[in-house]
Amino acid sequence: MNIFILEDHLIQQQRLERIVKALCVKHHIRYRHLFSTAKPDRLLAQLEGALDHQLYFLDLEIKNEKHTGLEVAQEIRQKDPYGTIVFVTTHSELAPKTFAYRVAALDFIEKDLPEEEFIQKVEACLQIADERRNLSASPDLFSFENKYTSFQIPFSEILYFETMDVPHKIRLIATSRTLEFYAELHEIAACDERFFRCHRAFVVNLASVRSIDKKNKLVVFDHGASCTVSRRLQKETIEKMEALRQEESPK
Amino acid sequence: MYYLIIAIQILSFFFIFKSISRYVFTVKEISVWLAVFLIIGWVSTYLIGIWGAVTLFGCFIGISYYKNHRTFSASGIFYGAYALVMNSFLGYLAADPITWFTRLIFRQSSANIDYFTYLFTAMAPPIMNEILLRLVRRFVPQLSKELIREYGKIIFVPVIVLCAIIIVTVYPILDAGNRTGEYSSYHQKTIFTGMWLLFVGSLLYMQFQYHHIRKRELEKSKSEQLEQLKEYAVQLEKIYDEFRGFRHDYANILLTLEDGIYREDWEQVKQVYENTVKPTRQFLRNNDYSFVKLRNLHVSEVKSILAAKIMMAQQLKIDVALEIEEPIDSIPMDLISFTRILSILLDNAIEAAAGTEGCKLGIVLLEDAAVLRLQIENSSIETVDLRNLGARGYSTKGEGRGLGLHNVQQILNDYKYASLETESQPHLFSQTLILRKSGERP
Repeated sequence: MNIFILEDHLIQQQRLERIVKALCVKHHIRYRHLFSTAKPDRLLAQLEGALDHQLYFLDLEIKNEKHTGLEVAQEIRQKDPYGTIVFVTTHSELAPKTFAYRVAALDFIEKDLPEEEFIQKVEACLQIADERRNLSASPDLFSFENKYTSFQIPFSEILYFETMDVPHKIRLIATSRTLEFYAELHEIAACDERFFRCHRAFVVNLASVRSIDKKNKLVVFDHGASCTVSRRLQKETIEKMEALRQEESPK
Repeated sequence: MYYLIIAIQILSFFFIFKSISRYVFTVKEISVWLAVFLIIGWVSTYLIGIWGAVTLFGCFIGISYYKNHRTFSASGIFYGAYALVMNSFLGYLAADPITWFTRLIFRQSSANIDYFTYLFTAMAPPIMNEILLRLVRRFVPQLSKELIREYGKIIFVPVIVLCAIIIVTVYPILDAGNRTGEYSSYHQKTIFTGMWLLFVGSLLYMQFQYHHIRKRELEKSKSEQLEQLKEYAVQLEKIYDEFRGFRHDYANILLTLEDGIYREDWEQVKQVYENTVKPTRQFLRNNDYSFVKLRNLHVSEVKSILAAKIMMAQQLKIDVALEIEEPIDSIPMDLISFTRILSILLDNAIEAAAGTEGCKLGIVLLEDAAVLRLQIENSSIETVDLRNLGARGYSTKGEGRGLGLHNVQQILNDYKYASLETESQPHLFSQTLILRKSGERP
């Protein structure tokens, strides 16, 4: 793992470096380089050809720089899609939702937190980054884009899609959310082979089906959610589901 | 042949109705409705002659109700009346030229050309209507469905009454004409012309009334906006005053610290730090200032509403976090609808958050190349069940409520480029409006 610190305030930079080093010793986290700088350009130059997992601590407001922290983070993201980005900043610059959306930032650490809380948060970030070291795969996201909408959602959260009263309007049912948008069901069914149109009005995510209630013709998901399966397609749904499970189990 | 012409007339009714109402029908629906229409039309024409058309009027109201039963209003009845009168009107206008034209084309032919005349006359109205509506829609700015929904009664009721009068006067004449084959008495012609003028007049009245209401609404929202922006300015001044106070204190703190340091009285330095410097951290962490981020929002209609709602929330001691990190210059949606949705979502969020312990409200506006996202998040007491949300009258707030979210969905049904995401976690509820940018109207 490589660790990068971007911070223009020298005392803060040294403080963070000190804390990170101490924590790495404490948890036996090994890193190849620990690189601190006040210049975004120098950090970006270091990125080329990096193979390891990287952890970035970025300050959002860098003096005398036309780049904002957000732009730096976006550039980092382009070069390093899997790295772990953490913002270290003051409260007034806090914008967690925006940064999580833009660059999938892991966390925000406020500089003006009490020392212990500050250390705890750095610790948590280090540990997460250390765990991610072994996983280079990006999270399995379902991205959908058509003329009318554009969104992303973790694939594992998707339960099923259904048609609504309004023609061409689709509702996505996920574990803790719903999303309504304009599209065609067949468009969605064609997006991924784990999707299957088991009924005129439903496309299910086979990967999250728990069981099939043959008597009531229902596809059952976790947390009591369910949707109808047409009689004609019931058998095929079960076959596809089992095929998918077998495919996944040896892994 | 006679029945064929009636069938075509019934189809004409239907297509005029379809193009004025702009209801979306699936192929299946169209075929079912047409079958129903043909049967009812034939039967009623057979039984009561030309008055059969009036039973179709009933059918149109039925369709309107079926299509739009949640927000069924005067407009549904208007569409039916329009289809009925417009069909007769355009048929009447087209009759003479078409008769002349068919005579011209078929003058060599010995066949009975009367049927052709009838046939063409029956087919003309939907075509003319379509051309007319296309022209009107091209040159008249987009009507706001919001306004029509709200003021439907004022706009449509007089027109419906006029249409009813027209139908009641014109049909007996047509009916009598049908029986005797005689249409051309002088009085009848005068009545016809008068009625058609009345019809055109009523359409003009509608146009006038609509524009009048629109103007009034615009003025009203402008003055509201001004009020909200004034309030916003007052709030900014207050923040500035607090900062001035802070600056003043800060100077004092520095002096005291300096004094302590030069005299190497570390006890004093420590004391000043603990008692006066450390507490300012709270000041720095205060979210009250997050609304200064509104400066990045350059759409004043939206800005004023956001400012007003944020202040309202802060008065209720809700911790408001606002994120507008980059400049936003435009909203890819009709502003009346957008502000309406925004206020409903914010009202809901504020009301829900106010009852909770953590009392939090988060508002995020962010834009990228493809979409503009508006996220509104609030703390909530329970985990909201997403299944019933948005149904008319369903509300976590008790009886007789729950129209807000339903209205949001109604508005969104008119905007294909808008998607709504709803997320529910323990003690946290959030809604995200995703506006695809290509949906921007030119």
